[in-house]
Amino acid sequence: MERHWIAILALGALPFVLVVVHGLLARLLRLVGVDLGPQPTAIVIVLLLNVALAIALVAGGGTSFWDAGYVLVTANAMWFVYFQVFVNLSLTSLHARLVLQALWRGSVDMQSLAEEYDSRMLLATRLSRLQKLRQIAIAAGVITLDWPYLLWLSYPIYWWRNLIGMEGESLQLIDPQDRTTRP
Amino acid sequence: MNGAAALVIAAALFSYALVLHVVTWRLRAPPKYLYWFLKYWLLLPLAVVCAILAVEGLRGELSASQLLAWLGGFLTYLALCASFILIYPAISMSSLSLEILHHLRRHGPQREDALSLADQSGMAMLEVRRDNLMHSGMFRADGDRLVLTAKGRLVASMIDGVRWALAIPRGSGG
Repeated sequence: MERHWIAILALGALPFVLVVVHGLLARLLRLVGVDLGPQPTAIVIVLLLNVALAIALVAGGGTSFWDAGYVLVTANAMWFVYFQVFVNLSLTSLHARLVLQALWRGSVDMQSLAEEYDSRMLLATRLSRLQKLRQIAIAAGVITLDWPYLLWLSYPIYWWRNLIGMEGESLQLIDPQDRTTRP
Repeated sequence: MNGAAALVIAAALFSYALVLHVVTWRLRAPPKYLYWFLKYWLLLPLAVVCAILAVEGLRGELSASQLLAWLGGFLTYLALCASFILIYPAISMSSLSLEILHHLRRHGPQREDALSLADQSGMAMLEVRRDNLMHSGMFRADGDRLVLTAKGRLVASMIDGVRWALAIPRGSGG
């Protein structure tokens, strides 16, 4: 029974443990000249986590299917919390970027940020990022979908948005050929 | 541990949470959605679970194994709720990257110069986030500039601390 209480506490503390593991792994890799970047490091960590859990569950012996399922579901949900709260929020959130800029520079100048977020620049940056992630391919000035797994992953999000009757923020992506404007 | 019981408890609680969310949002989405999630996804289920455990305990029918199943189930429920709430901004606010991908899927290959963004889009994204941060008391205006309040400084320092722990170099990302 004591083992079970320890397991519950360990699962509850897992997001914080993963932050420590992430920091150690990233610093160790840098020592040997490898810099994966925060998000790929987090992906490596979820793979390592599941391998470690599988070994522990098999080596533990006598673990029922449901107990193993419980541990795997909870541990992976906790990994997702670590990934979104600690990795994504501190890295890609525009809210986080604004408060960090104010912390580092003393204040935020909305005018200079507005220049950085100029619509043409914004679109060019995103296209470049999507190309690097192999979501799109650009050849001879034509953009096509490449291996758009982010698009596939977004289907449930768009489906849920419709289900709850939300329209999302209007970004007004324009196709001059048919003059359609989409939210 | 009774993993099956814990999973059933987590699934039951999470189903309740999702149904309540869909019904509420279809009627009228709450303006302060984080408070709504806190109230109806955390405090209300916590109160119900505590009441069930208290009644079972008073009747002398609560075993250590049952208590463990409830705690385990509630922990998984919290992790699932946190995961959903963290995805929620992507549901309620569009991501430009995803909009581009959906546009290409809908309209097929596009010439690079055929895609453009309405002039005010970049500024609109900034303004929505600035207003959120002003309303939540993180920023105060100082002329044309925004300055952190004590609360904002605390939050910014925590994010900065997390970035240090994750070995993310200052100034990268965003």
